[in-house]
Amino acid sequence: MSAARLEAFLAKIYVDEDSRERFLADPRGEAAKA
Amino acid sequence: MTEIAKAWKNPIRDRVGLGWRRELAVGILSHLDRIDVVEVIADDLFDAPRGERRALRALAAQTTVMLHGVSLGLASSVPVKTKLLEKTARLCEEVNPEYWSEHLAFVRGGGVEIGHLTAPPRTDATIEGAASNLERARAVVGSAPLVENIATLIDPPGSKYDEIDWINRIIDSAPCDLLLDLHNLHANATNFGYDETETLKRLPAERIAAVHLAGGKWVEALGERRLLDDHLHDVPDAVYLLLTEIAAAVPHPLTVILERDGAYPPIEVLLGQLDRSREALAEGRLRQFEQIEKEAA
Repeated sequence: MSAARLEAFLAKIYVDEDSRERFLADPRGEAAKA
Repeated sequence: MTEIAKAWKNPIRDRVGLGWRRELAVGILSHLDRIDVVEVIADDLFDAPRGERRALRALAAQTTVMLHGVSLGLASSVPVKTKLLEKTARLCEEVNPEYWSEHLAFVRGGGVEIGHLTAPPRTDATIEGAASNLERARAVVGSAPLVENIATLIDPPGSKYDEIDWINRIIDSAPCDLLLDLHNLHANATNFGYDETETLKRLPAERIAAVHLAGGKWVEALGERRLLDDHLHDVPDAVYLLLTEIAAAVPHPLTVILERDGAYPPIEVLLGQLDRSREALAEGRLRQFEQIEKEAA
């Protein structure tokens, strides 16, 4: 994942509760999907 | 105590001040004899009416004013918005602050505005991005900002470096010194279980130009108890102890700013915290003197 995409992914999980919960439940799976 | 030690203990070289907030304006303006410097949030004034900017210029004529930014998002692989840098430049031109400062944070990504200061992944990409953003900031504004460490409730995913390593790499590759937020350092050390005094020693003392003090509270976050840096509470003892450590190590004068963003107590309470900061500085300065004397003996 590029640095810019990683930051975009993090920005999304910081502001969106659903995304954050999905990430916390399955960090690797959600990161792979990003 | 020798006469020289007494003189050294006098922290007159260090300056102590308050963050400007509208609610504190009367208290600040009527106690400028006890407040050496005032720090103003730059972003609040970017699009402020002319009258408010004139008031800021009037304040700058009476006391030393510093500008503090919160929205650039310097610590990112994505370039900082030119428009924000230009607004910062205009304000600096108007106010002529002794320095301006910003956070080592990222605040937007992929078109999403996060709305607060967040820790980016501590990687080579964000180090290079921060260095490049800082160089652009210097070019557009005319001077590089002091850069401030932030508090975080989570260890940023995808990181390669720990926080201090990451900060040191950025200031090694960029033309800027540190605004060290001691409550942020205290909160991160508390939340992630490391020794804050030892951590302080890993930062280059000669690059610490200014200090922020604040308070916070305990919260539940992600199922764990975390110390939140909320700027709504008094400065805890641990932070004054860190200030003494800094004063014992830093060889040049420091500027110390107390930040309070709400739940405002009477101004006397905040002035009392400034007095306590001066005492903490004096204690550290004396230690530094004793060390120099010991080495010279």
